Amino acid sequence: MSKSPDPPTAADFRQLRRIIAEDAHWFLNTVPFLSNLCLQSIVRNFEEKPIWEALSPIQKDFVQETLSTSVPLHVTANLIIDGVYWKRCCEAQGGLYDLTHYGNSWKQMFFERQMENMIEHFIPDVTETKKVVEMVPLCKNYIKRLNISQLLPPIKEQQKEEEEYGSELASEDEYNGPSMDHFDFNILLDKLPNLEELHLVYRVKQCGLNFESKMFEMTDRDCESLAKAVKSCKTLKLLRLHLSHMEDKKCRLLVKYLLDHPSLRELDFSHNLIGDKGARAIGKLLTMSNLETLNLCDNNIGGPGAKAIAHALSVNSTLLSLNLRLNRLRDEGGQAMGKALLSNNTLLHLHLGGNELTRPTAIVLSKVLDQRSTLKSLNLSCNNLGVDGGKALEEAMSNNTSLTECDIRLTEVDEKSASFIDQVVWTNQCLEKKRHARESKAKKTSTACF
Amino acid sequence: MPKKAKKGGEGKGGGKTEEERLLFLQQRAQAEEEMNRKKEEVLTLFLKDKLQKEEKNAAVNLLKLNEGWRSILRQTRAAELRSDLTVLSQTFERQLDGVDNVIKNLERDLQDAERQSAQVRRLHLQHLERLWAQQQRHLEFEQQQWEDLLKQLTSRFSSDREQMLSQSKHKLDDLKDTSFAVVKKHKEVMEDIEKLYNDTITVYQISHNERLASLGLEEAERLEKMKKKNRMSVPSPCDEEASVPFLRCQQKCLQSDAKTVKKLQEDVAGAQVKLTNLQMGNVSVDRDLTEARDQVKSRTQVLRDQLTASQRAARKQLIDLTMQSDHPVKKLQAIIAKGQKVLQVAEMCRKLESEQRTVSSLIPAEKQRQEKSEEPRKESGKEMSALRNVTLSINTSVLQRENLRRQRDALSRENQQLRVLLSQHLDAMTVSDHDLEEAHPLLTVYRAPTTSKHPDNERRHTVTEAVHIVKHSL
Repeated sequence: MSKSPDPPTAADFRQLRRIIAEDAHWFLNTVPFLSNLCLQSIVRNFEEKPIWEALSPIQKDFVQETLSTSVPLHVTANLIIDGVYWKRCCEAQGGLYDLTHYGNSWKQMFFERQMENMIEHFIPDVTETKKVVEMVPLCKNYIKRLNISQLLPPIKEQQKEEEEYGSELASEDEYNGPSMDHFDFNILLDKLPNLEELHLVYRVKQCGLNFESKMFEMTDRDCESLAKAVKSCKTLKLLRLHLSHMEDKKCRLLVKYLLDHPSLRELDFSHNLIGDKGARAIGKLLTMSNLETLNLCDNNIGGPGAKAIAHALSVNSTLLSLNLRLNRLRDEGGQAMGKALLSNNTLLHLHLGGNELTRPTAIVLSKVLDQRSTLKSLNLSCNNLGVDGGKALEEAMSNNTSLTECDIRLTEVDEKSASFIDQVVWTNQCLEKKRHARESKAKKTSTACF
Repeated sequence: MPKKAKKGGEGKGGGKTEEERLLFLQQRAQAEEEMNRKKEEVLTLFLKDKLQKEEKNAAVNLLKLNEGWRSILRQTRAAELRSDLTVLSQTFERQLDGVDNVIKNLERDLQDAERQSAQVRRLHLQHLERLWAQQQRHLEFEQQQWEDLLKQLTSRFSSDREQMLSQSKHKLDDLKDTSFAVVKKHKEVMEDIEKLYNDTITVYQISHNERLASLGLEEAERLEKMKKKNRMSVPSPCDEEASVPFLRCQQKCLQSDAKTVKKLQEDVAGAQVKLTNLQMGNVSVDRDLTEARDQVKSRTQVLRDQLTASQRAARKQLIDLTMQSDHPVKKLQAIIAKGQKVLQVAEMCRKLESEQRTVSSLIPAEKQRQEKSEEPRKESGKEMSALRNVTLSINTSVLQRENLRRQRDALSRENQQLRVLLSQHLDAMTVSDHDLEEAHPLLTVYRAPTTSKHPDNERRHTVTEAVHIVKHSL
């Protein structure tokens, strides 16, 4: 009871029993399973009637592969688990992204990128905040990291419209301008319970000919609102606010709100304009919180600021990595850091490159290296330590067994000293590997015993 | 006044005598003169005073005038200057303001530029750091992979090695065992073989003895067989009789056998002796052959050495010859070339002379003279005449060359003139753009081209100098 698509030959007559059907489109395929048909209709009508829990895993896979990616999120977000569907959604979003950055989860990548896009294209007073607020309940379980690379300032209106603004906004009496200078994070951060990392830059990408220096600055209001928002987010572990023209005042404001933050572990204020006062505030923060990593590279911290941070360091016992690269510490600050290190036992990585440090600092640091310190990595590149500084370091390194990375490039250090220090570092690295091997073997044997 | 006085004086003094009048006139004249002089003096003094006063007044006036003029000038100038000042100060202020604005703008621009450059630098740094971190990760990843692979390989190799070691040990042990067993077997087998050998030898000996002994047995057996046969056929007592010829036959056979054996043995001995003799002879023949071969070899070597030495000597001689003959060959070739060139030149000279004979008059005259003088002097004079010929021909050729040069110059000059004429003619004929600009171009009349002609007296034929040709060619 079948019809072959080609005109039948005489030989086929005998082999096949066939019917000549009247429908020209009738063909030989077997009828699909009813379950497949049902699944297809489920997929087609997913928006109106989302059926997911009742499906078996194979059926769920099928739905994930065929469901259209333009189904609104309020239907799919909390329903469909991580898998191929979100991978297809990410591909529909476009762009080239590395999955390992997003925790190896397509769903997380999709929602994080969705939120980032929304925030990056949010124009204050033009885009409605309820859009963002609506999005939150759909994605709050999946967003762990927000890496925002631009924040748009409000559009510059004509003066007439500013007056109108002034009359409309009842709360802002004194200020006849836009209600917020950039996206206000207060509406968002406290609602995201899983957020662990927040990367922010106050800048505008692709501004073209409309360049204004204000597009690359953070204002005081922004600072305040951000500080409050960060304080309200109880799970934040990493805060990175770089390249945003942040001065002492804003730094102090932010630090004030971060003082008792329960979970903050890593703070990155690199590429800003923090000076000595800001550095003092950060020193205070160090003494009071549990920070592990502090990155203050490319700021304006000078001697007094460095002294404050050094004092905090000598008291603190949680900081593991400190990056003070490209500041203006000079010998004053460098010596203070060195003296603080004598009494600190937890710091592992210290980066002091490009700070105009010279011989006295090298001598103090060599004293640190001489005694049994825990410092694993020290970077003094691009400081004019000179031959004497190099010799002091060399003498100190002969007694040191823990430093596995020592970078003294471009320090005008004598080649012999440099090569000696490299040798010691190499031996320390080998020792470290052996220690690791022994420890792993010990672990294995201990687990084997049990 | 003095004239009037004089006239009045003359009118009054008319009644007196003339001398008195003259004296009176003279006195009057003198008095008048004196008075005039005094008056003049007074006048001059007065005038001087006046002059002085006038001068002083003039000076004072001048000073006053100057002062007045200066004051007026000052006033006017002051007013002008004040107005200028105000104008200038305003302009300066404006300029200052402009410059200040420029400076402010530049400051702002500088700040902006600094900020932008700082921004760019920071971004660049960030990008670089990110790239560097990525590269570090890549490197670590690669290193990890490499180390893993290395570990895998080493473990695999070590396990392989251990396996192979154990296998080889096993095999060695097996080998030892088997070799031990084999040696044993070998010994046993050897012993067996020896036994067998001894047995067989003894058996052979026994059999031999038995054979010898059994000949009678055989005969006895044969006899018995025959007996049996005879018994079967004819049981008669003639068996013994039948057996005797058999025994005799057998004895004869034995004897013949023994004889053959002896013969064979003798033959064998003789053959052995022959063999030994032959071998001796062979050995001596071999020795002679080898000696002869060595001699021949040595002779051939000697001959070969002689050959090579002679070849070398011949080669050296050849080389010396070629080297020595190279020089004279070159010289000869040079001389031949020279001679050829001389011949060519002589041919050329003859050709030229033959061409120029009709023109030049000297040479035939000289030739006639030569013909005349040829008879008295024949051999020695030929050289002289040849020299003379050569000098004469040289002179004629020089003169002819000069002539030709002058002709050429004249011709070139004529050529240039003709060209100028032609150009003028052509200009006259054609109407150029330059001419069109002038008024009535087509009606302009050009001067008819004319030229002056040089006197043609100096045209002569020139004769090429053979010496020069020779110099150039050789």
